[in-house]
Amino acid sequence: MTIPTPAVAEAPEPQTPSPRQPGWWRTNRLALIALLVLIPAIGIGVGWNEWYSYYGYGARKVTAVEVPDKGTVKVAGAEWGPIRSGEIKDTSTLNMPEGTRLLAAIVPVTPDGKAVSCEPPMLVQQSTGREWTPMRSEVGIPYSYDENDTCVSDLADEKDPESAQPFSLTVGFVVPDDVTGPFWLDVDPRGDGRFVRFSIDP
Amino acid sequence: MKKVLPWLLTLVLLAGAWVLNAVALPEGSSEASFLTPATVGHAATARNLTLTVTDVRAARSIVDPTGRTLESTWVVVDVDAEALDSQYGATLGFAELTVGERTFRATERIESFFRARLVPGVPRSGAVAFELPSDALKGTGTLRLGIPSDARYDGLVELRVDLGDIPVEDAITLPATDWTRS
Repeated sequence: MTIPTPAVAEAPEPQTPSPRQPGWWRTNRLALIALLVLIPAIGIGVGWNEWYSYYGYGARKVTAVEVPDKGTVKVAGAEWGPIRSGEIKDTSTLNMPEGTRLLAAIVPVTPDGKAVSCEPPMLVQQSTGREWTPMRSEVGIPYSYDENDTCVSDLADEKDPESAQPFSLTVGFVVPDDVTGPFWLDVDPRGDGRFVRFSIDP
Repeated sequence: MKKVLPWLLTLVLLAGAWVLNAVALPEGSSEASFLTPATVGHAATARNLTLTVTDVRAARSIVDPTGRTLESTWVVVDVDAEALDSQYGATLGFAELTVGERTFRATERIESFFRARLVPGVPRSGAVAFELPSDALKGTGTLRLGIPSDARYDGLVELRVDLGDIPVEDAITLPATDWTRS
């Protein structure tokens, strides 16, 4: 009887210097690149969709088309301008509050053929972005068929919708004395993301 | 230790849930209005609006600027108001008086300052009137005024009014909406 020789632990096989294991980043590089592309793409896609559902379809004014000084511009099927603007100095017959100015503007509009429609013009102080909309009955100026603050054009021939006549937008704004120009007068034609922007300093 | 740990964890989680439940704002808070507290005679600002309630009165009948008389129980609120940045869509579109569980909107039966146009930097004045049941002139009422007709996410001016304290006049002639004259 001999003492059995204890089993010798097998020597671990000498590690063959395997080719360097590719790292995790390298293994997943395709997916990582895809993520790099897809995450911003989703952000942009969702953002654009939200933006477009609000501002798109010409529903709101987005892009200003600036009108050259004393000039005109063609937007949304009509020619806009040249603008006349100024301060109404004699307001003795009107109901004006103290410490305010009445600024007025007249914008001739010449439709190409079909009638155009638009929002009432808005007066925007360039330095602050404060906005005023037209006032009329509030200062005691009665309604007049010839002085509209929105786009209303008669047809030269009632049967021909392509015969819209030129007309003018006539608007007045009540602004505090301490609000000084220059201003923009923005007119937003419906159904177009662009809007007409006159620069005035009455 | 091993037996205690799950119970301890359970307690911690329960306590956490209780705290969370206790501090959570009521449902709908995310769209609640931003309220600016105000008092009679002092200007308050809420987003695009600066407003002063100059008086709160009560009467059994009111006469509107066109001369129409309406008998009921009325609370009349005199207001000076102006817009701040934009006149676009700026009207006094929100006027509600909450008494107890009931909320009343300003009357549209007469010409009033309700839905009057507001101008940036140029104050206008007028009055809004609330028609109440005859038993409602008691306790504290909460008056909320603002520009948006839908006041979610938007600013409102809020006043507490002691309705029992207001003397009830026989008739009040509502001022016509006009520029504020000092």
